Formats: sequence, C-alpha cells, structure tokens
Amino acid sequence: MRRSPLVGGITARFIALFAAVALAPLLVYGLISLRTLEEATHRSVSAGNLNVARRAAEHIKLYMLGSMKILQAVAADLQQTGLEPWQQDRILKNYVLAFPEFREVTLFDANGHPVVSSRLGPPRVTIPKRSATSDGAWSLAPVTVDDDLLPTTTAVVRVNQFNRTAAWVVGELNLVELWRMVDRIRVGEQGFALLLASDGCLIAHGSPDQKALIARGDTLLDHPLSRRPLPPGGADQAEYRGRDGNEMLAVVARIDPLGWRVIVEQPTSEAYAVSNRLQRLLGLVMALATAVIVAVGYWWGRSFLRPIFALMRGTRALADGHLDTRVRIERQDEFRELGDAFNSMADRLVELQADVRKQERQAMFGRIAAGLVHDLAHPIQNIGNSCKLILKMSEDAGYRETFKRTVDRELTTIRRTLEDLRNVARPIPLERFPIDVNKAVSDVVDAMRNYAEIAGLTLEAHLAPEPLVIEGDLFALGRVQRNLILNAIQATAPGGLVSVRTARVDGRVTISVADTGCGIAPERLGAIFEDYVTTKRRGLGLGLAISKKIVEQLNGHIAVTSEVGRGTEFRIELPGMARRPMAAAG
Amino acid sequence: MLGVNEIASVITNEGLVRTLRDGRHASALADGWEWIAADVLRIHLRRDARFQDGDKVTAGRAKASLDRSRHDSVQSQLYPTLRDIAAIEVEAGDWIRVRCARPTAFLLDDLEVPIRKWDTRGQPIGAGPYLTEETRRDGMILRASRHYFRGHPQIARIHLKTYRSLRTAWAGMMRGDIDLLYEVPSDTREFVEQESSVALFSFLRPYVYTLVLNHTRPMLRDPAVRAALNYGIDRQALIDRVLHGRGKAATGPVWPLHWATRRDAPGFAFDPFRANALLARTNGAPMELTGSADRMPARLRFACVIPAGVSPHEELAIALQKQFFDLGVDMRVEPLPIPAFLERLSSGEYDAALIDLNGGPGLVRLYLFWHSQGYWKTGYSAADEAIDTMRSAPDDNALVQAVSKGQRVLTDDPPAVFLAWPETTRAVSRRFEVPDVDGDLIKGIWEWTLRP
Repeated sequence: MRRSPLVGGITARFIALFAAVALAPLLVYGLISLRTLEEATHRSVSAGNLNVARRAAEHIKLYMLGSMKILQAVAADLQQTGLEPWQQDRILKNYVLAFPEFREVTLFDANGHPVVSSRLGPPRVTIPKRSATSDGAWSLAPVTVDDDLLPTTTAVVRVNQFNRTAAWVVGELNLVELWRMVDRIRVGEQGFALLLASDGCLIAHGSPDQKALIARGDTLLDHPLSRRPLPPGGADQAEYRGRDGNEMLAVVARIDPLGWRVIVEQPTSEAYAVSNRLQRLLGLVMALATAVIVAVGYWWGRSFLRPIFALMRGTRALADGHLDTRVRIERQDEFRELGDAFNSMADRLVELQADVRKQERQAMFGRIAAGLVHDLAHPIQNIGNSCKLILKMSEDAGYRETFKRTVDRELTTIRRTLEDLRNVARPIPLERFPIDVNKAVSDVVDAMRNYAEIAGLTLEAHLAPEPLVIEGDLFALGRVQRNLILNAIQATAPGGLVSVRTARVDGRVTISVADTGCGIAPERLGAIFEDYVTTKRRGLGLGLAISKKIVEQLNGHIAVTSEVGRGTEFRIELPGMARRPMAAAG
Repeated sequence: MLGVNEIASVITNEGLVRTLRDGRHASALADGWEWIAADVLRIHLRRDARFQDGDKVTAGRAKASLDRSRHDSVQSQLYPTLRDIAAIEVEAGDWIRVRCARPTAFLLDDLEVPIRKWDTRGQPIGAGPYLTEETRRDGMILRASRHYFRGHPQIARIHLKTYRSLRTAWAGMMRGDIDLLYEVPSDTREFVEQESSVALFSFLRPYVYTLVLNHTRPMLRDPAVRAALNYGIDRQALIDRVLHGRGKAATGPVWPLHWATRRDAPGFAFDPFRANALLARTNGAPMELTGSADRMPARLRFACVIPAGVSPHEELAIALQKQFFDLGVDMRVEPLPIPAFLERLSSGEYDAALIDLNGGPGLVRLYLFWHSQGYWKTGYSAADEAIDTMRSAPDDNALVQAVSKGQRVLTDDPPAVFLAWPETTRAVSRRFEVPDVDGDLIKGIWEWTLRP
C-alpha cells in the first residue's frame, strides 16, 4: 500500500514522542542504576574481603602473640624459682604437651649453653642468629618449612636479671595452626588467603593446589601487594592478573608487630558475581521494561493511529471510486464518531450517486419517451384512421367486429403506453380539489369489472361507510387506481379475487388493492416502484413508478406487502380532509 | 635402605599363601592346601606359577626354598613356625607335603615366606610381579616380570628412592618426579590431603606401639604393677596427641581385625584411680616418695629405651612419661641409636622399651613376641600355654577359644603396655588408577594403571 509522507511523519513523531516520554527516562535511570550498583557492590566486596583479611590478621596476631606469651610464661616459671633440674625438665615437657604448637622448648644459659630441654635427647634448637621480627622481649626467626613439610619458626624469649641477659628460652614453633587458620578462610567458593612474611616469603596458602609453593620456599615478590608499603595496621587492595591468567581482587592487611601480611584473593569473576548478576538482572529488567514499553507503545500507538490510517484508506478508496468502502472503528471515542460520520458520508454519497444516475436515466428516457410520443403519435393516428377505412371496406360483419375490437384494444394499449411515456417525460401538473375517494374508487372498480370478468376474476369493492374526502386530482388518482387494479387482475389467476378497500385511519384515507395472485418475490419487492421495473411480460414498467410519483405529489404514501403464492396488497395513504367541502368531485 | 628393601621384598616376592587382613589365608603360589593330619599339611602349587627368570615354580623348587628359609637364622626368626617343620616332601602332581614336628595352626601364617630360587651367583630370584633390575646408592630400580602368574604388570619400571625428608619427597611429588609417597606422617596428612593431584590411602597398620615391660626387673615383676601401668594410660589421649587421632587404641597384642579376635575381650580402659590403687597396695613395688635434684619423687621408677630420632616414639615417650608422672611413676626415657637400641632389646638389658611391634595380621606374631621361646629374652611365660593352645588348635572353634584365653592371660599378667595400632597413609599420584586391595595397596601395585 502506498503510504503518504504524512503517515510516516505522524509515526515518526509519535515514536519520537514516545521515546522521549517513556524510554529516555528509563534508559537514563537504568544506566545510572547500573553504574551505582557496580560501584557500590565493588566497594562492598572489597570492604568485606578486607574485613576478612583484617580479622584473619587479628587472629594470626593473637595466635603468635599468644605463643610468645606462653614462651614468656615458661621463662617466668623457670626464672628465679629455685626449681630442681627435673622440675624444669618437667615444666618444659608439660608445656610442650599442653601446647602442641611447640615442638621443643629449651632453656639456654646466658652463654648460649643448653640447660634443660623438652626433648629427650640433645636439643635441636639453637638461639637464632638472625631474627625476622623482634619486640624487645621476644624475637622470631624467619619462617621455614621443615623436613616434615611443616612451617616452623624459632621463637626466643630473653630472661633478664639486673638488666642483663640471664638466660634464653627458645622454642621451636610449629606454625601448622597458621595453615589451618589460613585454610579456613574462604571467600566464596574460590577466594582464599595467603600469609606472607615481611620478606615476601610465603608462609601459608589457602589454595590447596598452591601449597607446593610453600614446600619450595617460594616468595611472592611479584604479587602487587607483597611489597606495597603499608602503615602499621594499614590495608590496601588491588586488582591484578594472577599466575593462572584470572583477574583477581586482592586485599591485604598488615599484621603488627610481626610485619606479616594477610592477603585475601578472590577471582573477580566470583567476587563481582553478585554485582554482575544484579547488573545483568537490572539490564534484563530494563530490556524487558523497554520491550514492554515498546510493545505497549506500539500497540497503543497502532490502536491510536489505526483509525486514522483506516480513515485515510477509506478516503483514498472513496477517492478511487470504491464507494462501497466503509471504515470499521470499534472504539468508543471520537474516532468512532469520525468513522461513523465517514460511513454516513459514504452512504450519502452512494445515494446521491444513485439519485444522479436515476435522474440521468429518467432524463434520458424522458427525452426518448418524448421523442417516441412525438414521432409515433401521428403514425399511430394514421394507422387508426386507416384501420377505420379498412373496417368500412370489409363486408364481413363478424370480421369487422373482431378487427375493430382488436384494433381498439391495441390502440388503447398503445395510447396508454404513450401516455405513460408522456407522463415520464413531462409529468402532468396535478389539479387539486376535494374529491370523495369512495366514489372515485367505485367508479374505477365499476369501469374495470369488465376486465376482471374477462380474466375470470372477482373484483370487489369494500368502501368505507362515510365519505373519504381528500384534496387531490381525480384523474391522477383514478390513473393510480386503474394501474393497481389492472396489475392485480393481470397477476391473479382465473378464479382469484381482487378486492379494493377504502378506510379512514387516524385521519388519513387509505385505499388498498389486494389480490390473491402469485405474489412478488421479496428480492424484487423493493424495486417495483422504480421506473421500468415490471413483473409482467408486457409494458414498460412505468405504471407503479407513475403511481408512486402521483401519490407522493398528493403528499401520500404508497406501500406494498406481498407473499409469493398468497397474493399482494398495495396500500395508499393520503391526507384526509376533516369534513366534506361543499362540493366534492367524483 | 632397610625401608626400601622391605618394600622391594613385598613387590618382588610371593609366598605360597597370602594372609589377609582378617587373618584368613588366600592362595598365592599355592592354589590349595589341606591338613591331612594335625601336623601334616599338603600344599598344591599353581601350575602357572613361575619365577622371574621364567622357570616354573615346581614342588621341588618350593621345597628347596622352604628348606633354605627354615634353616636360615633370620628367616626362621621372622617366620618362627618354619622351625616346627620336620620334613618337606615332594609329591607327584605339584604337591608338597609339609610334616611338622608338632601340630601348628600358625604354619599357614608363615607360609607367606618368599619362595625363591638362587642363580649361579647366589642371587635370589623371586616369583613376585617385579624383579630387581638395579640397586643404587639412593634406592632400587625394579622391572616388571614377564612371568608373573597373575598377569603382566602395567607399570614397566618402579624406582624406589629414599628421600632425606618428607619435604624434599613432597616437592618431588609436586614436580611429578614421584608417584607414590610410601608413608605420610599423621601430622602432615592434613596438609597433603588438600593436594588435588594426590590421592591418599589410609589403613590400619598391623603394628602396635608397645611399651614392653621387662618383668624380670624387680620393680616390674608384679603383674599388678604392670596392670597398674596399663590402667594409668589414656590411650585415646595418646592417639589424639601424638598420632593426631589416626589410630586405634590397643587392648592387647592380638590384631583387632583378626577373625578369631573377641571384640569384647578384656582390656585396660583408662582408670587412673584403679591404677593408683593397684600401685598403692603393691608390696613388691619400691616406694620412693622423696626425690633429688635430678629425680622426681616417685613410688615407681624405671627406665625406658627408645630409638633416638624416630618419630613418633619420642613424642609418644614424652606423653607416656607425663601420664606416668601424673600417676607418681617416674619413667626415665633413654633415647638410643637404633643399633644400640636393638642390642639392648635382644640382650634383655632394659626395664622398658618403646617399640612398634608387628602384630598381625596372622597370630604367629603372638608367638614371636609373647612366647617365652620368642624374640624377647625376658622369660615371660604366662601366655605360653595359651599361645601353645592357639598353635595347636585343630579347628576354628578351638582357635577362637584359645585366642580368647590368650587375650585374658595377656590382660591378667600383661607383659607390656599396649598403646595403639596406628593408621598409616600412602599418597599416590592421581595419574594412577589404584584398584581396591586388601590391606596395603603396595601389594597390588602390579595392577595399577595410568588414567587415560
């Protein structure tokens, strides 16, 4: 279908309006929400992981300081208590049994010679020459992984007497509990923790598959958070690409005073999974909302524009000559009224066109009829005259009678036809004066009874008891009655009945002509008053049309009811006069 | 190298029968046997059994191997019932007849002794799935035998290697250099089991940590004292503390999974009050409630020898010492180098000794360690009758009765403080598909396959 620029313009403007009003705010809101959500969840995840790292750092700090306090307690138990060697021995062994993290505790004198040890044989530990961490009262050697694959360090507590070193309590500290602590730290499914010494040496790794790094004594100096300066108690975070190629979110918390670091790592794919899921969800919701809005807008827009398009199509169709085009608008609004108006306009247009055609046809046939009447009148008159001469020339009386009757009948028919044609071409002006319908009907019935008898019918007249006066043209009304009665006679089989009735109903005078004939098919009933429509084999079909025209000229109305096989009734209503005037025609 | 040789022996040798974990016997080189008299056992050899050089394991060769083992001082000590064999006869149809000097139900246990032949250079040739290809300073290389009767091993070569420490061994395993770690210490298991590339296999080891008490020493002569020491020990605490929960408290020297063992056999539940009461009313035990600079005050003192530097004996000794200390018993621990330790054991020069003893799965180990004619030179004979009854039990019912009696005797007059049956763990690379095996998975190594 060709679409006019106007339609495209309306649609485009409508879409633009819809997008501006509905979609743009939604998209702006969605984008802002997405961005806000991303930032908030990232901050939240980092803060959560950092909290985990800080708590782990606190636990590790407490554990290590607790171990130092145990060692200090050992020193306190042994210092200046006058214990026998076996008692000191027992104390050390009891401590080792009570605190399994101490694999050995040995008391050294000020010169570094072992005095008593928890071990059954010679002590394994010595006073470390290098300490990784020191707090004045105690120090820790660097953490190593021992031959049994366990993380170990040596802790030393100095026992002072008179501000001089009197002894050393040295403990071999099994740090496997740190591994357990670190192993217990799980962030999500894939997040884990690492524990780094101050020199970057890996002490514990929460990932089971990465523990071999510890056995190898690896350092994590390439980790972005292993060397980044941190103030005491400080924390930091970074995102980096891990050794396995995964993007990682890492947070670090410093363990004071050990100088160690707890790093909590989590693949960003998991760390931000909730954020990503929410973003996807929000995006999905936005997309759905957009789709719904677009769908609703499309539907609504279509429903809004559909009547306009329908009207435009209808108008275009009418313009193209398709007068049967109608628009169908179901809505109950102004568009419906517009559609109804359009349809009414189309109906009226059809009627006007039909009227125009009818008038054109009537005018054309009027001219033809006038021409025929004019051209045939003299030849028919001459034929009539000639027939009279011929009649006089014949000596056979029977022949002459038959010839005369035939010629008179046919000439009468021709004259009536010509009269009809003349009336079509140039309607006779009515001469109105009061007439008694009963008398007029009675005269016509009496005049036509002979026709009925010839056709083997009964023609009855049932006249109203009182005079029925109307203002009319007696001649024209008689013509109407003859037409109707003649049609009834011609449509009724021999033995049938044609009855003519007059009555006054509600001040109007009615004349009905009913027969018991063959009746008229319903599909033809509506057109029988039109010109040149007839159910008979002979005639031009002008009788009913002229009758209708005469009745309407008399401000009356003619109607017909018929049932095929039962008969037909024509009913004329004419405005009656209230009282008989002084003299009524007929 | 001792450990490597023991592992190699398991893989390279095959005996006539195999003792299962429940003490029952399964066929090995012998596919059937029958006692035709209380002291005569007929054994039928598999027809497809071959030595690693391809020679068939004939009745004559099996007899020769058994004869050599029962006359070998080391083998006869490890398999003591071989000494009961009076004669071995070869019969037609791959049968051998073993005639014993007396009825012995332990004979089948000791028929696990490797059946071997010797080449011209005097080197033994076993019938196991692998044979020794090369002996190196740090281990051995074993090669799959083409003649192993159960089928050709899937692994062509096995390199047995000793490592200085678990750490280096583990690092080797992580590098993929090592596929099997023979023993994972219980305190390291927690760490090792997290490694996804390694599968751990644990099973109860038929060795029992035992504090052997020399009853010939005056302070330990009274059975009530020894019973008191047994009641005074919280075995589960020892298992939890020293074995990290991986073990089973021992009620005696009888392998707890043995089919003839009574599950409700009398034992020593931790009862320090009873221990205290027993010690208090013991007249024979010296009571010293005063101490010195080097000795704690105690009412019972004895020395315990342990192998120095061997884990977990030292930790176990310290924990035992503490529990005895709480009981007023002074157990002085004397770590000794292993040779000296073994010398002291064999000579009987000790008050007590802490050792892990082979206690199963066959009952013959009872005889080896707890019969007066066994390994210990303590003259402990209280269980002799019960063990002899086990040994001569003509049927399963009699054996059950005898074992029950033996468990009761060993409780009434305990020769030791039986502490725990430890669990041992092997770590295997997940590259291998390891089929289920009764007991130690190393016995089924010939069936291991590489995962696709």
